[in-house]
Amino acid sequence: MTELPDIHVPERPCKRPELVGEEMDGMDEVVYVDTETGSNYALNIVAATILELCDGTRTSDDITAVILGNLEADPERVRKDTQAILEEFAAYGLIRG
Amino acid sequence: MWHRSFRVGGVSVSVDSSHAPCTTILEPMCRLYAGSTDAPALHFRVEPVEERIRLSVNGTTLWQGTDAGEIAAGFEVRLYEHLLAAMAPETLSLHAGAVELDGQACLFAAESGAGKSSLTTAAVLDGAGYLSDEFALLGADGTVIPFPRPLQWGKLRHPAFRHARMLDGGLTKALFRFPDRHGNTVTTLLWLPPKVRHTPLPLGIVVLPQYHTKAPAAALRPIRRSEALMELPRHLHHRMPPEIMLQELNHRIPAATRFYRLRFTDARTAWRAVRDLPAGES
Repeated sequence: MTELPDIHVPERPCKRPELVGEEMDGMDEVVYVDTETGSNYALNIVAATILELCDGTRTSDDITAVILGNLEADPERVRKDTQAILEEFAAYGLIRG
Repeated sequence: MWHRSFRVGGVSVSVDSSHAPCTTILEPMCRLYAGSTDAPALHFRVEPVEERIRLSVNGTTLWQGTDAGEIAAGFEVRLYEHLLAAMAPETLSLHAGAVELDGQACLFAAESGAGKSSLTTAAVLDGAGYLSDEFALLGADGTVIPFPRPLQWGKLRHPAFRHARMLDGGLTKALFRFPDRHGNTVTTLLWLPPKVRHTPLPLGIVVLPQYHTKAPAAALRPIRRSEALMELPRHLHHRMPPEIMLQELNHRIPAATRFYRLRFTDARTAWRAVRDLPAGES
């Protein structure tokens, strides 16, 4: 069985500047275009908010705190979900350190 | 001398021909477009010059040859190129068939060979109003502007539609032949639908079709707007940065537009599945 490579989430993740988001009219979704490769990524509004919060100054905990400030949810679950989303961003190359 | 003035996507065109064999081909090519009395932005002229035939636009020679079909084929290609360039950026063209469904435009957007022309033909034979088999013009106001060139077949026969059925459906047939770059004769059939729309229609449905020999007769499923809009930029006829294409499509396609993916083997069954979608289902 092939082992998946370790996914490293930078301590202060930063959205790649080549990503340009377009909010879908009437939908809670944002499509990001990677202007370098032409690839597209569709994110729900929470994931898109997390991506936009990746500005190179906030840590994962900082991002979780912002989300918790705008969302009534179990803090531990939000922390885990935020970490999982950041790992996915890292795996797809949407963020860097 | 034959003369025709028409308008497509806000661009007025005039065509003059003093070469009778060319006129015979150009006339059905231009017949379906809405007439215009405006001063033309594009003035095409076909005329004999010594032993050759000359095609020009606004006084600039585009093509010279001795074969009427070759000149007509050249006219068609250059007409589309010039029209698309002249109407952008106000109007953008999507590689899609377009028909009328319940007073709205229904698009079949796909690469060549995916079945969009077959679906458009099936719709026309079922009585749908015709907007285009190739160029769905997206206005800035969420409408689709008709570009009713004749339906075209690159072969004399179509696996799904017999000539008799096309003629029974009220379509008029024309054809032209021209030599390809290797000297082989290419025959193109032109089918002129009887019910052509000349006014823009709001965009209601976008179908992403894929003909596949192992597909069921028709499998239609709704997809999210984001899924469709990630795919549609590749079908635009215009070259733009990818993020601009996405923005343009997102702004031009109304929020209420419904999107579907269609896999099919039978164009008639597939069209009926689209036609019979409940209004407003998402």
